[in-house]
Amino acid sequence: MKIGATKSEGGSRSYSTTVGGAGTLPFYTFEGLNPPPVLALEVYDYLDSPPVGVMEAFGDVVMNPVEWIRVIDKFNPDVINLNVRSISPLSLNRSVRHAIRLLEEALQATSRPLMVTGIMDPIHTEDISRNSEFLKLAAESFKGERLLIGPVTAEAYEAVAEAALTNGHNLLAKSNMDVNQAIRLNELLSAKGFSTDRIVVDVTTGALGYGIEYTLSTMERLRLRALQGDRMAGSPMVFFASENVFIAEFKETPLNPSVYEAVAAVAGLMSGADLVSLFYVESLHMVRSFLTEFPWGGG
Amino acid sequence: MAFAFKLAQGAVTVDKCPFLTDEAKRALMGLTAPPVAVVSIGHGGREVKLGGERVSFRHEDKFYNEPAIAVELNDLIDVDALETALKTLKEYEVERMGQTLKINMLALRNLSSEDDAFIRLVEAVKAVEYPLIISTENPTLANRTLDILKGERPLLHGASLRNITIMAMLAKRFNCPISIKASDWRELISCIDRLKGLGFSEIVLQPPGDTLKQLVENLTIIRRLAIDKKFSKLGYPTIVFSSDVKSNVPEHLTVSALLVRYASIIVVKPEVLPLIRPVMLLRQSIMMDPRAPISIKSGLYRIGKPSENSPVLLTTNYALTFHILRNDLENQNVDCHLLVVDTGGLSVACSVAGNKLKPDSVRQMIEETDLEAKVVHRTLVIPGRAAKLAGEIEDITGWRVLIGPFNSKDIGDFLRKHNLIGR
Repeated sequence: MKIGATKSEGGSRSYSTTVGGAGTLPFYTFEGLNPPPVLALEVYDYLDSPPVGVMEAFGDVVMNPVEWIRVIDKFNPDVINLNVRSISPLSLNRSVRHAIRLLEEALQATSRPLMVTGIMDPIHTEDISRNSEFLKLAAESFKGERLLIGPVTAEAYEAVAEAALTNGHNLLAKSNMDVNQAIRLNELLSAKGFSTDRIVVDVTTGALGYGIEYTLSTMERLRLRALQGDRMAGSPMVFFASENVFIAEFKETPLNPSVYEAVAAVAGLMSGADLVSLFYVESLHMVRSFLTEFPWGGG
Repeated sequence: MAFAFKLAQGAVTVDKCPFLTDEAKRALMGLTAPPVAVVSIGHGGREVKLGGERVSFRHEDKFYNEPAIAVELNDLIDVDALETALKTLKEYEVERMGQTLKINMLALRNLSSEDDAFIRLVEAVKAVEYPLIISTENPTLANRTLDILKGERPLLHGASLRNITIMAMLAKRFNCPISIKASDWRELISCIDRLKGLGFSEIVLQPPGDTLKQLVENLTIIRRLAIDKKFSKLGYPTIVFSSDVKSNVPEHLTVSALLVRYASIIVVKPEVLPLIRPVMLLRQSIMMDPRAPISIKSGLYRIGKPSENSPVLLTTNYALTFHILRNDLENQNVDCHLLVVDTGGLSVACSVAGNKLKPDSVRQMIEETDLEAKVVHRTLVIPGRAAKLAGEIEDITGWRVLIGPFNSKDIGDFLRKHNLIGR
């Protein structure tokens, strides 16, 4: 799939990023070459539990998402992932309008393709409806930019899917560490007219020692099924290595949290992640150097 | 019949059957033996077992023997540095979810031209009782070393086509497993054939390749051929020295990649140790049995210093759930009682979805732990994800049920907001 639309395509991005397109198992380079995985850096409009070392790494800029975007933009992520969790009624309860304004400023602060995420774990009804409300409005307000927006879940996808379809965006489809759930959600979206090449599958990322193995195995199973011909399993997959920087247990060690993040990212990539979302710039550097060791192609 | 079932599940080996002839045993062992041979290094309860793998992807079964992490020490190191290195090994051990994550072996590398330097290293290390890898291409030195370590069964490393005959003879003499390296597949297979001909079954392969790409490829090829194509010639555990890998990748990422792609032993330099914790967590995670997640004993657990007024929290006996919840409670300075019910080791979400979190089990556990004599109140806080069981639990236990947060990181705030704990 493509994230980000350039001027000639109706958007304002300086380039588009292609995600997915694998034809072989990950890192089976003796069998065939896959397109290179895409790396995203994250920006949050609210850090309710700040990761260890965030102030040392970024300083005050984390209080201002638009400035934060300008800073990380310089480090060449392929995609920027703007998360607007402050709109959760259970959190800061900021308005959807506020988040839309922020997204508008973000699109001006960077010309890179954007991923926009609302409330990542929408369980309470208020969260579910606020998340959907925001995503629908974002889709309508920025027609043509070809954003990657989400998450949508099996419980709440219809309105957002319709808006994303009409306005030319991609969807982040989230399910809970289960192959069948992931496939089912793709089927539901497909019934709404969404092709699997406009969906990025999020099977939910567990951190190291906190369920990462469920994520890795679910991804491996999905990729195996896709390569065996199951079209509904054939969407690109995302891995949120950033989950690791928020783990309290890791704060007890003197280790820089980017080390945990990078180790997890490597495991995610080797299980087939097409898009890896990272918090720390250091992790981006480390993962890029890892990817440079391998040949890419195809797609 | 029972024996046959156990055999089919891999819980016992054919040679334990008292009724079969030797010939029958060998034939059957060939059929039920794992495609990747089992190699044991060390002795006396401190052995490290490698191999024994049956699948390429953990979800198809599980991974049987964890990849071993070995720390490399060489004979150019000075005495003080060696002492420090040996002392700090234990510092990197982590107790987690009922398991000890640790460094498994030491690899002693002969780099000096002075034989006695290596002997001194061996003598110094022998005392710390780690299973060892002896890495030298000098057969005389190998002979002296293996004699000093008689009975210890270290892995002899350094054999290749060049010196296979004498190294094999030494390994045979001292009954050690042997590791072979080759610059290409043909050489590797030649060596394997020679060793098999001499009756060796405990072989460790050092795959050809200098770069990370080549090693990842070749480790994958070896595992795939052994498992999918039943190519028993390559059905052996593998070893990689991560500091020999030519790449610009930070070493801990090289190690991570090798770990998830079938390296049975990964030898690292001591400098990597400060970064080893995330790697060990990754290892612990992928070694989990997908069919039988670790569970803990059900019962009543005390967190902090709870009194008879402290809140009672309900949770399941999945080790990870318990571990996360306990960590959050301790980090947030909550004193409470944790009532753990048996859900067959399933998490809250899974056990609620699968009807394995039974209100009656809650009642039973309250009774079994004599909880009503331990606290003066009758309020039970249940996980947010178990909300739908609230009514039933209230009815069956007679306790008041409060539906807690979905995420244990919010538990402190929740308990304070509901005045169940002070300030």
